[in-house]
Amino acid sequence: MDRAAAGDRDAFSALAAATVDRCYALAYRILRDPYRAQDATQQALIGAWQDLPTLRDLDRFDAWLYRLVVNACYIEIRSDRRRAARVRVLTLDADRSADPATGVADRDALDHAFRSLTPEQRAVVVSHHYLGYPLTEIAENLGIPVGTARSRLHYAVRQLRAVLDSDARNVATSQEQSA
Amino acid sequence: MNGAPNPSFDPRIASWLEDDPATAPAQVLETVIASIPSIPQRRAALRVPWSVSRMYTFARALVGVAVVAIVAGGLILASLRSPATVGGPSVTPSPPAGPSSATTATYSPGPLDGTWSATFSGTEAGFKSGAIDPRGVGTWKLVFGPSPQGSAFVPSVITLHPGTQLAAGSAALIEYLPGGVVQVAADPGVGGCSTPGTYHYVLTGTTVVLTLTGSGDSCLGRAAVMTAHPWIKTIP
Repeated sequence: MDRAAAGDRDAFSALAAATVDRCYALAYRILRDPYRAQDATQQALIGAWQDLPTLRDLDRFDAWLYRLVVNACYIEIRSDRRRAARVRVLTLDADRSADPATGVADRDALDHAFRSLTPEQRAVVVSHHYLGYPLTEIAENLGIPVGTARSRLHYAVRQLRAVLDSDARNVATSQEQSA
Repeated sequence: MNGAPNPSFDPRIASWLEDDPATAPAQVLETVIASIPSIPQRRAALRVPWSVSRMYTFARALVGVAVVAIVAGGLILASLRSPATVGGPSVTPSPPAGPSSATTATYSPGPLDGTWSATFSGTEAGFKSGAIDPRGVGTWKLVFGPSPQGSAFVPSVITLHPGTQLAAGSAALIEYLPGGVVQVAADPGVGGCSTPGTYHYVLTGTTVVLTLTGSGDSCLGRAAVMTAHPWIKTIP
């Protein structure tokens, strides 16, 4: 990492290779779109290359890179709202339909509910429930007060449940009407 | 409000997130590594060169006076050349010469000059009605610079893509308009766009990330290519 910070491109390439999957996994879960996740990952890693010499404590690299990815995701979400509508073909994953624990309908419902969250709420939910970070660490990594992180998580989960309940009621109503 | 764990709901969220992909497509890393040679690193702090730090105080004072004199002279010259700019200089950048000034003797570099790359899956809008088109899969490039056709003094953009002629023109003249707008001319080539298109351009990440937006292009294939992804500068 010292060599990468000193401008060694090969060293940074190795560093990028070691971290690109983690970056992409985080970006994908926040953005829910493979293409935007690729863009955010690229922007975060390029930002890491540019600013690595300014990172005072290299031991904090992981947390710093995490923040770069989250910020790149924020930019992606906001820039996409300004962009013209895009049409993308969603491919069905055969493994998902075979998953007995979490069915396709359940995944789709969660996906729909998650998309109703703000970018900031998404980042906290993914950090807590996927990366397993405690709220104190999330707050430190994102540069926000612990109370703000706790609040975002609380309202995010409440929002998820509200949307899921609403969707379930709509499905029940339409089934009753068709019966 | 306490953010306390919900024993029935939290595992459901965690399980759902766990099922998402955890491996990045290979082209993500390839694009990053390809772009690094053209992107300078920021330095932590401006360091005083050894030669300056050892200069005598008198010599340093002379250098300081010279710098102040040069800056002051420049300001005076600027004010003499633009008497109408009362209230300070305009914030609108003056665009470089476009195709309309083809007779200009020298090429004026544009803000987008360089080679930009973006990776496409082939399913973006405009690609065969959304179906996967193998000709569009791969890394596309936009090359802004002097026109390779006709006058070398006219700025142009070339779209290089991994397959055959697909959505965007092979080459087109461009014109920088005020307000961060670039106009791409009609491309008379086979399969090219028959009408011009305009796009807003924004440079971020210390001008190594280019985002094109806007709906001022009736050639949908070209618009899809130009606006689908941010473009990363790979060659300055």
